[in-house]
Amino acid sequence: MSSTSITDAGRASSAPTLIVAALAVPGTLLVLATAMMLLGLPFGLDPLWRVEPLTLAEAAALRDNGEVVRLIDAGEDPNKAGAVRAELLRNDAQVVTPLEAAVGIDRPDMIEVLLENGAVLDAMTWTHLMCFAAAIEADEAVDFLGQRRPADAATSCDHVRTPW
Amino acid sequence: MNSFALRISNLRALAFAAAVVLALGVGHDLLHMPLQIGDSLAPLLDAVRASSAWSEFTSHLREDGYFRPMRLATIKLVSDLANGHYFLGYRLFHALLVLAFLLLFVRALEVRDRLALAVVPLALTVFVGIHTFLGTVKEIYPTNHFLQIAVLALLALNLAQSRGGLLVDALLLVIFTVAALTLESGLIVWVVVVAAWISGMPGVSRRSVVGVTAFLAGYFVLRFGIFGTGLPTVEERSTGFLLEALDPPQIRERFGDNLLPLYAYNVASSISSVLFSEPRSGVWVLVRAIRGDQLAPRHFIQIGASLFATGLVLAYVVARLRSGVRRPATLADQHVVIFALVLAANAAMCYVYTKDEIMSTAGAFYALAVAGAAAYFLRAWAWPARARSWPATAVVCVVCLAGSAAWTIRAAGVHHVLRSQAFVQRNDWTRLNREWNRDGSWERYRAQEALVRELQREAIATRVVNPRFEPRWMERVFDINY
Repeated sequence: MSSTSITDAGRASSAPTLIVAALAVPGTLLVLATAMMLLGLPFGLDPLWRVEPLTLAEAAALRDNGEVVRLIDAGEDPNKAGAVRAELLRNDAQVVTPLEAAVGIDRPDMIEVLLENGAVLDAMTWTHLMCFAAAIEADEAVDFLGQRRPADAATSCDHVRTPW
Repeated sequence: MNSFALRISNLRALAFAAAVVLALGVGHDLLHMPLQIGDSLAPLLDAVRASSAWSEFTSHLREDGYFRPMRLATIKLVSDLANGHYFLGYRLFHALLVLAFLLLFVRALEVRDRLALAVVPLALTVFVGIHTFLGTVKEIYPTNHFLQIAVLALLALNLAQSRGGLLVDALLLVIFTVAALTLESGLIVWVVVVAAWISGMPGVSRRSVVGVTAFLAGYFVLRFGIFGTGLPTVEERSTGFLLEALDPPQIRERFGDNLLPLYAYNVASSISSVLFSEPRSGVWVLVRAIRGDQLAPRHFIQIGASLFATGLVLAYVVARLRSGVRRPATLADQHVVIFALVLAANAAMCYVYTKDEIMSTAGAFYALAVAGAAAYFLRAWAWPARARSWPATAVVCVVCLAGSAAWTIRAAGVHHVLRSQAFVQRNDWTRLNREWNRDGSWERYRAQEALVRELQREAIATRVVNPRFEPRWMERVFDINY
């Protein structure tokens, strides 16, 4: 065995710089960028894990079950309407309750998380949400709500105003 | 220390520094990731209530199809060391393993001159960027056994590259034992030792090969003769086949009692996965993307990067054979030989079902082979007698730049996948009640409800990035969690 280096050393010095650079520069940039990111951490700069603050309604609209539960644990009211910025639910900004947001994206899973964590589905809310789900053809939400109908809930959508 | 030795140590320090930076970057991701429920929570709870690591070890000697007593003992050990801070304990353990993984890789490269150092960034991006690496970081299990095996395999390789001696012989036996008892694919350490010996590495003596082989025989006697664990069957897991994942009933429906074609497919696709990034866990995602009209730049980046790196290794093998080399003469030759044998053995271990993470050891050795091949061609290009024309140099530059850039993108994409995984894992915790009520897990762990609730609170409190706020190009360019 002649050597334990990667290959025979000794004829190394005159490799065309361009080829060496082509191989080495991209990876070196990644290492440098990672080092910069690490250096910024003590100063609160964390570009890789920059968390966008959300309202509870926005978290519901974005299928962020974990953030929904975290916000409720932190004291947010799951029955209170909140702002949802433009492009998250609709083209324009909305003010909706978390349950409306969950129906708006047709996610029974999110409705269930909200109900498990304090959202109230009384007769009036049920009718409101059911009419909303039917109006926007949120079929899965319709099915889910259909199984949760309070006994005294009305099924007529006359005079019910939906978020959109 | 003379100036030459000082220069080498400086070059090595730079290479290690680069590895540390990338490892810390991934470690930073790991500390942002909630504990996962699937495959992790139950083993963690079992470990917490077990009386000792030894009791965990002995109570898992007779499992059907599996022989992993050391894995459960390790989970228990980390649990005890965590002293109640389980999230931190397991994540730190994971991050330290990642650091060891990268440092052992760079150490195995044996950087001795500037050209070897110039190859290190490419080598590191291949090492971190290959999809098999993702399997070592995206899940914790709660100690990632695939990562443990890959680290032990690299440790064995580093010892094989040493001067050897009685201590190295003994350490190789210990490493093999720990690996074999941690996971079935830990037997790959035997392959590393034997392949290192065949390729003439100085640290492996005939004595250590005989010793490790005797231990391998002992493993089979213990596993099949004394504890009768048997082998895993296709009834236990789903596996990718062509364009879809087949669950056990579908496997039986398609293959009946003749499973040999499935086994052959799994082995072949595992090899292809490391060399060409397709298929992924047995599924040809590129073909599926084409058929589903969902082709994205990431498909070209993944395959392009692999074609570049695998092309380098193949060209290296051809060049060495054409120059009359019949036995490994350099470290790069040895790494290529060992990689080939590790790849074959690792793929053979996937015969029942194939997953990217099972191939993580082969993925690590692939990066070694690529590094050696790249260094070889840099030197060959530097040889004055082989001076090339400008157009040829320009073409080589473009190919090298495209290849190394593609690997850099893949390596950078690890952060993206881990962020996505963190989002999914935190959301899973919100379904814990429902799912555990449904599958009866609460009955089993009711006594530990307080701990489960604490872990749940901790997981939910972890701040993760909502994918909606990631730039749209990321999901088209970076790898996704298959």
